Amino acid sequence: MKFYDSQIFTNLSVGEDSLEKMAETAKALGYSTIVIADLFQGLDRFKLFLEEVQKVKVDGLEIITGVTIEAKTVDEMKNVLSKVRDKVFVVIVNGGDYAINRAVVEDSRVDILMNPHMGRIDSGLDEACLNFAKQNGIAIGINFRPLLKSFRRQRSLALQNISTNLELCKDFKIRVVGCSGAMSKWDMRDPRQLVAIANSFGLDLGSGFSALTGTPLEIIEKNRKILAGEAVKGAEVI
Amino acid sequence: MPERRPNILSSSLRYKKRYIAYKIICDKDMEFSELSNAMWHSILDYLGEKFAAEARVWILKSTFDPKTRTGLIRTSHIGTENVRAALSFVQKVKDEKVIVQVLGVSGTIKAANQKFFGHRDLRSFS
Repeated sequence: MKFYDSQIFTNLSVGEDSLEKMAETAKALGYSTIVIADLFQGLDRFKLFLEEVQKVKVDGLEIITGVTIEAKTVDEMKNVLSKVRDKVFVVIVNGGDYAINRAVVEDSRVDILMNPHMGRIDSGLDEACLNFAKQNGIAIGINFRPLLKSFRRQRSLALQNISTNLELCKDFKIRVVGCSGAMSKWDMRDPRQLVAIANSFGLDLGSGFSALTGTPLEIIEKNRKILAGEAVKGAEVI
Repeated sequence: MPERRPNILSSSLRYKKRYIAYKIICDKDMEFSELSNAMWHSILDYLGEKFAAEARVWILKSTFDPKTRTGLIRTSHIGTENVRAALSFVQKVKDEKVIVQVLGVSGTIKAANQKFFGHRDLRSFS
């Protein structure tokens, strides 16, 4: 089975380890594809990032370019989105603020809304958000790193909100993506363990597997076709 | 006078065991006791005392190989997924960063040794 890690940071932005180290660890843990989704920190650094990712080749591991957007306002998010959308395969927006969560699910250019519960006491999603997410085909991302780095009450609250979001995604038939969100090679985990964590939140094993296999593959393939000019939004050349 | 022990229950009355094979990814050698402490800490933190008891976790000292940093953990068949999840929260063993990679799950120690650690017995050569 081919496993995908949809969000990995490197030292090209906020990560600690180099792209080569992260790629080697991912291969050792059994991933077949990783998405290097470094944080957007201006266009110049973004261009440098794209060049660096192209240079690295690891046998038996596919490396895909992505970007993570962390915006304080909706306008900032939309501005960055228009600059990066046609350059990478996966666009991830970090959620948390309700206005951002809502704007993300309303914008079909985004692929994944990551951690909509982050920094909140509620789950960060309401019925309107879920309807828009379904309509626009936006996946909800669950990142493992904040769980790993939090303890006791914080972790318990995060688990509670993730569990609520997974249940809502199941009810509304919204796709879920699981990823390590690793900033160093020590944050990475075996993909089967991430499936087990999703399973312990109440997601059935099949959905847990598709969060790390089928769903990321669908997103990458869709964007690969769009970037190659073989498809536009809503239509495809057969 | 030798201590009296209860007779062993018939197999249908015993709980179903599973053995989780793991490998530690780290830069330095470690002792089993340190690793066992870190694992127990993580399991109790994530599952709590009640679910750890239900999972019947036992970290087997005799199966730990310090050279390859591999070993087995015994659980009940219903606790396997939860223990696998809990092991991913092990971050450090005595201030050294580690990753606990689960290699797989097996029903017996013998099968786990053959499947994950490449052990061979004489029958495999015939």
